[in-house]
Amino acid sequence: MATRVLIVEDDPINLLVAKKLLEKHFEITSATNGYQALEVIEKFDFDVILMDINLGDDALDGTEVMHKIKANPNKKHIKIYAVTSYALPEDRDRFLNFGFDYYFPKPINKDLIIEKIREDITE
Amino acid sequence: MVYDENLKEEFFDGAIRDITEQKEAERQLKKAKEQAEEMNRLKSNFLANMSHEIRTPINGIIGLAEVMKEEFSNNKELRIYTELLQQSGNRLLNTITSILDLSKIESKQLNIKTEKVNLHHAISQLIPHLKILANKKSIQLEYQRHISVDRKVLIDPIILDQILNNLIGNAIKFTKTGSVVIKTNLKRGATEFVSILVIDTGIGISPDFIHDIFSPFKQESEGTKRRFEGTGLGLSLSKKYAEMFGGNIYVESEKGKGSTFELKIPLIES
Repeated sequence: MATRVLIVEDDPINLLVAKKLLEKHFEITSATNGYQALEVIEKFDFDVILMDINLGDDALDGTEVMHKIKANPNKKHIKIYAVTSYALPEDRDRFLNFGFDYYFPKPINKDLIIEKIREDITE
Repeated sequence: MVYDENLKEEFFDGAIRDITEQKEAERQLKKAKEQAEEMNRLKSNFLANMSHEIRTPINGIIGLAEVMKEEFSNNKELRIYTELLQQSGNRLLNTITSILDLSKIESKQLNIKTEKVNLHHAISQLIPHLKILANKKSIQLEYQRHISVDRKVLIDPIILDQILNNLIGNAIKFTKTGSVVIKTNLKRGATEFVSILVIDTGIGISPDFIHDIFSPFKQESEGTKRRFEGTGLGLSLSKKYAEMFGGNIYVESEKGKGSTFELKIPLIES
């Protein structure tokens, strides 16, 4: 079975980029805000979530969505990586301390993401 | 109080000082301090937001170029264009990162980690990548290892990489023919320093400009012509970084003959 990856990303161009770069390697689903992400996760199962942090105004941000997923015992196995433009030197530690399983700064490096998913999820 | 002969209160003697001004000055000073702190906080927020707002579209640019490279891999011309697009995107990203780093240093908001770093490891892992740059220009790149580089220095390893990349990268960039030699040495004194010399046979720096070499945004030019790309931020950042870790960067150069940059970093007592 192919590895199932959910991309949560509010920016349509960046969503397109991530989808296009990863769709040859994984089974991709996407959500464009936090509430949509939680709905999709409720219905389907995933191995990995690539979580953008800033998900637009008035919405849940990526960290809050991650905490909600991690709090659900049925979804605990899902690896959640922060994939974000918050990329100042201190941001890596900041997001790992929040509880993300990994951190990728934007612009994304496709090869590093693929390598990390393959390392975490053995099919 | 002064009394008359009948012990009646006659008049009041004393000094009354008006401290309105002093109190006002104290109040102003406190206000100025609060304002400065608020400005610093705003600046820090602004930098974080700017960095985020710039990286978001750059991800689109570089990422879409990557998508195009994959989709049109059989079209040689398109592939070259998309690679150039990515190079431009990456240069823009590096420039933005440098500017943000510089403003963070200047407002003393840079978060640095210090670790014990083996200098020889740090240098040798950068060499393969730099050799590729040198080979492209048919320049020799040589690393002469001195025993002192096997001792450790206290520095942020990412920043050390940035300094070394900057000094050696510059040497390659400004050298047309000849060589770039990296020499390491021990400097004894009250504190022991390791000295890393980057010696090139490049275009050199004129005496008029050498004082400005570490000032941000400056690159030697002839009239309005600028022969080399770059923001002129690299050396200025590198020197500031070196100073943050108790070190420094020095330069000696002769126009047309070449330049020698020296990075000095204190060694940890062994």
